[in-house]
Amino acid sequence: MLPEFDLLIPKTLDEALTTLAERGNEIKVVAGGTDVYVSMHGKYQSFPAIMDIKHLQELKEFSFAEGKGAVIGALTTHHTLDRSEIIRAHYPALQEGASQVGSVQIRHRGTIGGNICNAVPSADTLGPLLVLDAKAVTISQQGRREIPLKDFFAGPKRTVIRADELLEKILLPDNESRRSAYIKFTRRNAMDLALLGASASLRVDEDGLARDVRISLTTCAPTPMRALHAEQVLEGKIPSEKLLKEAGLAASREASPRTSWRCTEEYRRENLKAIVPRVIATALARAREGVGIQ
Amino acid sequence: MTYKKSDQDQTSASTKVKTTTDLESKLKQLAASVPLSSIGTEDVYVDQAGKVGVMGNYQTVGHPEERKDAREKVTGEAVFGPDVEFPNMLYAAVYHSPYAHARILSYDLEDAKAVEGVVCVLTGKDVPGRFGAFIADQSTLAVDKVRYNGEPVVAIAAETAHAAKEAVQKVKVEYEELEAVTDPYEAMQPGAPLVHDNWSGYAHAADFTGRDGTNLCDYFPLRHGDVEKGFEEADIVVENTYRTAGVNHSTIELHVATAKFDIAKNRLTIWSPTQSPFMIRKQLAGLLGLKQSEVRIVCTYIGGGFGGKYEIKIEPIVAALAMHCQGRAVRLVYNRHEDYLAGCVRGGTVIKIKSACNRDGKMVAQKIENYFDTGAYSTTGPRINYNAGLAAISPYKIPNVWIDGYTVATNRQITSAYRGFGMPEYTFAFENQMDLLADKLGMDPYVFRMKNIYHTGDVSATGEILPEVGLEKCFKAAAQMIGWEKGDWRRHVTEDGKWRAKGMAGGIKLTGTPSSSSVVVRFNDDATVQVSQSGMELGQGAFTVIPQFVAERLGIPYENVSVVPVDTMYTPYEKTTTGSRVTFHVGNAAVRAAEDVIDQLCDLCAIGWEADRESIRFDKGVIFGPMGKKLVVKDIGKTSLMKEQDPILGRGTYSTSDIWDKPDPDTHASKKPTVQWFWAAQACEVEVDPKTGKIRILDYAAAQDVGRAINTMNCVQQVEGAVVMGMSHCMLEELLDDEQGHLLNGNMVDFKVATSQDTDFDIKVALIENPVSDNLYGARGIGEPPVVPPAAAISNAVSRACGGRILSIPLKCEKVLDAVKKGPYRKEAE
Repeated sequence: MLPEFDLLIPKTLDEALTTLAERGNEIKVVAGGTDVYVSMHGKYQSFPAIMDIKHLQELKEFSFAEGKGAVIGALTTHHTLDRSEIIRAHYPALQEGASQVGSVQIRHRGTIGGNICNAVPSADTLGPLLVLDAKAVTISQQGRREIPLKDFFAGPKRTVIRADELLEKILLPDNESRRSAYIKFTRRNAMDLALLGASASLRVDEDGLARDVRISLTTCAPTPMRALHAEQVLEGKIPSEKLLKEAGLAASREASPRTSWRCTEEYRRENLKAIVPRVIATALARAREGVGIQ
Repeated sequence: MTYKKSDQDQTSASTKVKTTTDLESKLKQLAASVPLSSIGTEDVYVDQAGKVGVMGNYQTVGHPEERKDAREKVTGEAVFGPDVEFPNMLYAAVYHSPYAHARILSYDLEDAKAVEGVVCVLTGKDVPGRFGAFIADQSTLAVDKVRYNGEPVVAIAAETAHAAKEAVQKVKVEYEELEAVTDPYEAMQPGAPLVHDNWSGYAHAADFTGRDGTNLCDYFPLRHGDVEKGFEEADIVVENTYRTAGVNHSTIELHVATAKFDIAKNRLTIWSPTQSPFMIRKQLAGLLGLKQSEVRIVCTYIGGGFGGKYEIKIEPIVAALAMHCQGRAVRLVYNRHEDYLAGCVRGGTVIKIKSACNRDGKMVAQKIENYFDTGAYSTTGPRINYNAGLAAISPYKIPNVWIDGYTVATNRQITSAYRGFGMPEYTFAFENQMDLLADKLGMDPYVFRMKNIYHTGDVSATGEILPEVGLEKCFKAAAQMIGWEKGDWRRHVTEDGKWRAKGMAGGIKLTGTPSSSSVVVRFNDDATVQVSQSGMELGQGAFTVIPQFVAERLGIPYENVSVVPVDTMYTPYEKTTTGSRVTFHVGNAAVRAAEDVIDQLCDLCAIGWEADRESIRFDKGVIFGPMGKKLVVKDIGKTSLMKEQDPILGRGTYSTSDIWDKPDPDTHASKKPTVQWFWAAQACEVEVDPKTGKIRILDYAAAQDVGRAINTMNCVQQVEGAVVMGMSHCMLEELLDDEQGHLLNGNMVDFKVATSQDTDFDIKVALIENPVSDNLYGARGIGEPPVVPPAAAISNAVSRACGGRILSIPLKCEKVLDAVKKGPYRKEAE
């Protein structure tokens, strides 16, 4: 049963921002609603007002330009990302993340903006976005803010977005020869939350050295996190099997997973030693071949 | 493809496989008309022994007829429990206990009653009486004490569902929390918190074996030979403790019921997707002080039962509300979380087992102590203990057997029937033991099993001469389909570092005996037939196979026969739709009803043809009279034979009381403990990722002794569905609670039921035809038996791949990784 609330459906971005400027503190913004309504049904959350923004055309931009990169409107659905040839070729980790969110129905409904603003440590697009050097662009009556995604999360389910702001879009730099990958580890093979996740992005220079290495971990800390030590293990080196293993060990050490009834910390650290080298190996193979997901 | 085993080839492990165009073309035709990818012709093997079934001379038995319920269900026309609606209906909601064990100190219901639209608010004080199939320990709403997290405490009826739910949120109950006990083994130890003070204080069955002042509500002993002497003399002894987790049925349709009390008729009507309309009618009548004829149960379609809709559950709650709001219908539908809390489950078990064999590979002795967690109330726990205890003799001939089954109350979700009825749990334990013994012997686990399986004519551990045992054929077929004979069942490592192995398990199960069934058949003058009976269609195909029996016996087309909706006011008595019993029992009654019709048809022909009744005979749908007189029964509409004659009303009943030999209460020795045994064998190949503990099933083979496949497609689907369900129990499903007994994962994200993505492996099915003599067409039950072996077969394969035994299910990746790290091959995983 949903608690009672005011339902606000702005027709334009301007209208939305005006309302948020007036009473943003009591408004929960909803796009697909796949997290918010579930939480409200379960009586975990309630809000005086819900603002449904899913019709705002201004937040649906989706484009890519060589040399500039991708602009992904906050209302872009997981399904769109999953099926996009551009994403598949240039940002394969994001395709792998978006394609594994919830169920088919949820992927049609849920949006990348929602996944980011919901900010849970297990969110499937966040690890990939971190290794892709994503930036979030917020908008309010005060103007726009461009925030690197790594600085966007303030804690579990908390972000730095202000009550008068909306997330407008995500910017991904043109990765050129960089390639990426995401591994989601789950107990069941679909419709499950990531018990753990690992993402990697890198390029290989003319000498065969790994460059611009980014590694991130999902469900390993209160917020999605970069594994900086693991990155350093590989940066500027020829990636050997031994180095990949070392990166896995480093990631396992720097992660701060917790023990809950869902899984133990001990198991999560063990698992990272396996999946981090695998995700790097996949990204590496893609970088060497200069292609995304085949 | 047909699995053929010629009589001369009895001993060969590799059996011949022969194609029979008859079955193949039928199935191809079917596959073409219905896009069911699961029915590939290569999936179906049928033993030729009986020369019947698809290969026999039957016109509908053995054919993959279209399900009678298929079109209704795919078009959405079928009425399920939550679809029931009436004008002026009230909506119910329930306040559930937040504690697993607590004393109720006081209620404050004023705010709940003040919610606009609330019509009725009831607590345990307003609803007297207790119910229970064996021990009447359960009240409709908690009285004085709550015994599990989720127990219904307050029931509310309101003009809208919203008002009812809002009122639930305003219920205030003060409790004194008590220490909870959540493990069946711990609950049996001295000093454990008591869930119930005294069992004997409740009304109970005459053969009740609970112990007052303990949590033991039922005890089952089986004794055969001298196990202690057997262990002393045996060459190899293996002893372990196994655990299986509690699991929820997770049916698509939630628990639901609608009730209405008609004042003038003094009649309570319940609309419910129940598997047991007559059982709940009797229990509700007793609880409410009504006559059985004053309680009417109208059955809706069941959106998934699996045993979860066998017992009365929320029917007493809506009945109580309806009695207080007379003249208005009241509907209650649990939501998913409520269903996990207050629906019912298969409880966990703790199984202590000691098994022994000799160097020659012959089993010597087996002793099992099984602690079943029955949850907060006894429910059908004593029956599970009894049925499973008898089948725990295992598929293997063991000269010394000792079984102690304990049904133990805890402060956890209440147990009920669950497909397999205790046997997946027992089988997980004794089939793991079989692999361990084989390994100690250095013997192929298949060869070891084949040395010990029961054969037709063997005397079982209860003293029964076993009839028609299909085990040997099942094991051979499973081994052949999985490629066991090649010897690559052993652990091996793939190029990319994954560990593979094969595993197998046998299956044994009985059907509850005695029981009874009845069928009334109305034969219309256009040769269509309406069958009244009360076996329920819960997806297993009851409404399809029962018409097949009737059509076959009468020799009329399958399309001519339909089943009427089950309603205790109109349809005749049926024990329950459980225990894989309907095809066989109702099938027998249906055949008798059809024979009664034949008798009456012959009478009418004698009248119409002015012939001597003795000169009339029936054969395969045709009635023959003197001087070449002949009636093709399906064409009776073209004649006036039935015009204003006695209408034709066939009656058939069947019960098994006469063949049952009541087991001795101390040893459970019995020459006939069940009307029929079910036999199965399954094998699979798995792959383990030694770095993460993730398991993948690569290939699966399931062989089932079906007696006779009445509907080939239904049989294959039953086996496939059972394998998937058993796999899900083995690999994923587990109800988790904290130390105080609070359910932690009562939702479908955290209670993990397998999805289609988890069943990405081939299931090869062998239907072994081994006709039973007690049924005209030889049918044996099929619903539960294939869910018995999967957990054992998969865990045997996984443990073999890891090189270390995992003693509990589900096989979570943590446990698998632990087995790898403690096993002999751990260096390979580094």
